[in-house]
Amino acid sequence: MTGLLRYLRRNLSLVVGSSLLLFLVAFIVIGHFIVDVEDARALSVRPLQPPSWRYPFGTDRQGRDLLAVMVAGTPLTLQIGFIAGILGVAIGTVLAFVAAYYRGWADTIIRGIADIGLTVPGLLVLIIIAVGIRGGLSVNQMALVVASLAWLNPTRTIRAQVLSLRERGYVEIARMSGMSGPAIIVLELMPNLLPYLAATLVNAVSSAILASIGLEVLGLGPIDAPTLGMTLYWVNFNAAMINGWWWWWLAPTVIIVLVFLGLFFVTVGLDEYANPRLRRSA
Amino acid sequence: MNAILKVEGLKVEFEHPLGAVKAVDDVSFALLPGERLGLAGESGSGKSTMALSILRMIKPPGRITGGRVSLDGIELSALDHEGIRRLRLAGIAMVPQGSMNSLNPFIRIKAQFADAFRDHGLKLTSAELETRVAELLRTVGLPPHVANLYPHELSGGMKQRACIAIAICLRPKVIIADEPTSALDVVVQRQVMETLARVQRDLGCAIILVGHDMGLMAQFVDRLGVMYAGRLVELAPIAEIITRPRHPYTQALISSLPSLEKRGAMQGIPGLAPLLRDLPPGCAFHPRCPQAQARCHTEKPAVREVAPNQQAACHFA
Amino acid sequence: MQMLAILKRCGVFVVIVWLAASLNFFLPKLSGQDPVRTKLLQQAQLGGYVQQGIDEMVKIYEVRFGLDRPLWQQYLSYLGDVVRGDFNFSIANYPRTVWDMISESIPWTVGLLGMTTLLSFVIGTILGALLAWPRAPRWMAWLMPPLWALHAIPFFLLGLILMYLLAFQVQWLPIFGGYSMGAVPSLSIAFVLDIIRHATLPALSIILVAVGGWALSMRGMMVTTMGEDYVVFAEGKGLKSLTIFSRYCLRNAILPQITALALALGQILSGAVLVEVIFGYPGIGTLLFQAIRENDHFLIQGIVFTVIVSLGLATLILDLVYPLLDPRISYRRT
Ligand SMILES: Nc1ncnc2c1ncn2[C@@H]1O[C@H](COP(=O)(O)OP(=O)(O)O)[C@@H](O)[C@H]1O
Ligand SMILES: [Mg+2]
Repeated sequence: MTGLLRYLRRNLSLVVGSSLLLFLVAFIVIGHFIVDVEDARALSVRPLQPPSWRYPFGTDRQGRDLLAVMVAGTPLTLQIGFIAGILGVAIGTVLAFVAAYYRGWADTIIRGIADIGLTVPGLLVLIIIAVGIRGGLSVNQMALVVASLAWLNPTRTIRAQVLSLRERGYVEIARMSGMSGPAIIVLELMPNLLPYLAATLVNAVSSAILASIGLEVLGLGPIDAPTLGMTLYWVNFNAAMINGWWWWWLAPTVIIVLVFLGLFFVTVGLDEYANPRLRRSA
Repeated sequence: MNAILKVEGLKVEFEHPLGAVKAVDDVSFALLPGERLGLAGESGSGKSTMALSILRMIKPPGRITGGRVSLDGIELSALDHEGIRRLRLAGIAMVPQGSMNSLNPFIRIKAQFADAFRDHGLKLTSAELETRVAELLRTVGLPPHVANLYPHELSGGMKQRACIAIAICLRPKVIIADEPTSALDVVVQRQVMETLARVQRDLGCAIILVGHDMGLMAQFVDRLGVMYAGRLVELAPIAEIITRPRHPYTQALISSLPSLEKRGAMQGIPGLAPLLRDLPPGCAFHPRCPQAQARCHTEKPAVREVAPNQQAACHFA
Repeated sequence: MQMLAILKRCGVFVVIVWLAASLNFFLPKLSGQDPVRTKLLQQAQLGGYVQQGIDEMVKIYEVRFGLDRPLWQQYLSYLGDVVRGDFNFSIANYPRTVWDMISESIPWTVGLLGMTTLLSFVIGTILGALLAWPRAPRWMAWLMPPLWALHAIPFFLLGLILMYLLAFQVQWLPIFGGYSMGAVPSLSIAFVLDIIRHATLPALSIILVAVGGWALSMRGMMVTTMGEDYVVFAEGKGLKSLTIFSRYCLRNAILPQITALALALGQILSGAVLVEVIFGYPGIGTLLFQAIRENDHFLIQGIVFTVIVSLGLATLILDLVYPLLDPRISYRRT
């Protein structure tokens, strides 16, 4: 325990990042006790009220209590990010192991697809997909749409990492001692790979949230859900900026910024943990 | 004869979250003009760190924490950054380890000479540069057209020759060669070593050769220093070391050689190499030492003259 | 020999274009019902002023993709259209053609994104290099956290914040559009200034975010390069630290940056869709947004195709130029 504390003192990024995320979680949990999330639906409250004691975040033009929208919507946005991120990293990990372990043509194909996929503008592909299955996307479907590209980056980075671990000889030793292929992977590589996987996961979650918000702002998201991106869509749709309804966009903007900063600093912290060499040269 | 290079009480530490690592601990020796000094010891014993610290090229988290180095009577620690810089190559030149990657891959060989000349204040016309470089390349046995090639167009041995040519381009007084042939195959190794020996003799400079090939050392050097856990545990003329090693570690090294007539790399000796961060008290070698006594567990042996011209750090040498 | 490699690389480009076109053709077919046809009929039923155009389009459409013809014939005639740059009419803006609308938006996007990409590349790369350099001024270390923080924020969110601060609160800059309403597009200085004023906010929000990314990757590359043997040897050669920095570190660390720059330039057209949307900037992004809103399938297809082609073009140029930058790479690779 004290060891952990001592480590955290050196890894400030991890502390800052997790604090931000914990703060958001606390906001969501406490929020559920103090507001009625039903007020996140349109026509629940008086529209276009600036922040007041009654509505600390104000209300929007369709009569939603923005505090309730944030309390209900932040977890939805995080849900999309985590589902897509976890799927992406899971698929990516499997592919990366297959590629790095078996090498040869399996590696060539997997790496080729990942490399080509990464040069194609992701948002554009997602737009094509979302337009194709347009109309009544649910939050979970949204997550799946985003996940369809979320495995590309993890595949590439994890593959590189597995290859470098292989070089370091863990695998050779294990192989000499007579373990079978998959056992080598799980038993020898995983423990060394875990911090790295964690960093990749957080990164993937962050990218997935960014992509989902992008689609939502373009109007391709779950129209009925009060996610952060959909809120911004309504902000843009109603020209809230020009009309001076500053509170409408302020709340989602601040929360999105906190989400991204939190995830970013956690990634940096985990990278530092997985790869202490970077620290020295900093 | 006056020493050309004098190292006294040199200390280098690396900072580490779990405590400082003494990579070089109180090393002293003197190098005579034209002398060839070998430096042997297992990997991690601090050879490279010492070589770099003579040139004051230790980077954080490393730090030179003590000692004096003087070249031809000039105290190096009295020099400022610029002074040290000018002294590198012109006074003490290094031949890099391995050299597979020691030349900048993006510029031609000629330009890597030109950079050195320019930064040491030599203004050469391109014709002068051309002849200088061709001459230097010839010295190390390379054809003149190599000047216009990129490093990736050269073989490993050619690259290392080019590095030697760069090292001697300002006629240094001392060359420090850190495992100059370790990345090369055996035949090329031998040729490159011969080249190095020849240019050293022609130039009349002294050389410190870091390596762990005892056979090679035996053929090449006049004196040999043996490092263990950051300390210079024995220093003596090469013939003495081979016939009458004093320190038990040196003895183990010598006896682990297959045969001195055959060239052979140093083999492992029993026991684990020590963790520099966590050295045992007393003599650092005592856990592996067959002759260790109670005294060795508590008292750190000082380096002392055990015979004329032969020093060792062992209570019983 | 070289010529052959270059031709081969150009062949790859043609294949990419062909793949993109084929994808555009087959993907809508896979979904069972034909979204284009549905949309056309839907629009036709709504009637109104475009009624006549729609009828005409349905006819053209049926002739072009006529169900009477086998699929491969449809496909070939589609490829022929693509080669001629004919992407059909816009469904929502008949009788304007898709290509008309795209070519009208491209200069806006290329201008804004080209400028901001190059600027942030230059600033970020210099910053990143200095951040890695041990002899850089101390205060530079304080630049890292804000750069990182900005880098973690999406372009368009920063755009929203800047818009509020600089265009709404203090009203220094226009809030919306590519040029003032009522301004007559011309090559006059006044109009150019007007364009620059309108581009400043979107540009700023892109640059502030992107600089951090360039700086981070450059710093990483510099740190890696500074550990290379040839940098240690360069120091051992007694080179001046400026020489080492510029000729041994910078020169080498910058290559991956240039690769990334080429890719970023290739993504120009799709790079800041959301920024354009937020600022109502008349580029490809806003056009795409409109196309999505109006369900203008031909327009979406045209934009997607254009973006992929520009990307392929950028990687083509990169591959052709790279051997000039890195002597280790040559066209003559086996
Ligand atoms: N950059 C560094 N950071 C931390 N410790 C280092 C570094 N370089 C060397 N050391 C320490 O110094 C010791 C000696 O290393 P080195 O001089 O490279 O040995 P040798 O050249 O004899 O193999 C190593 O065991 C290591 O603990
Ligand atoms: Mg070494």
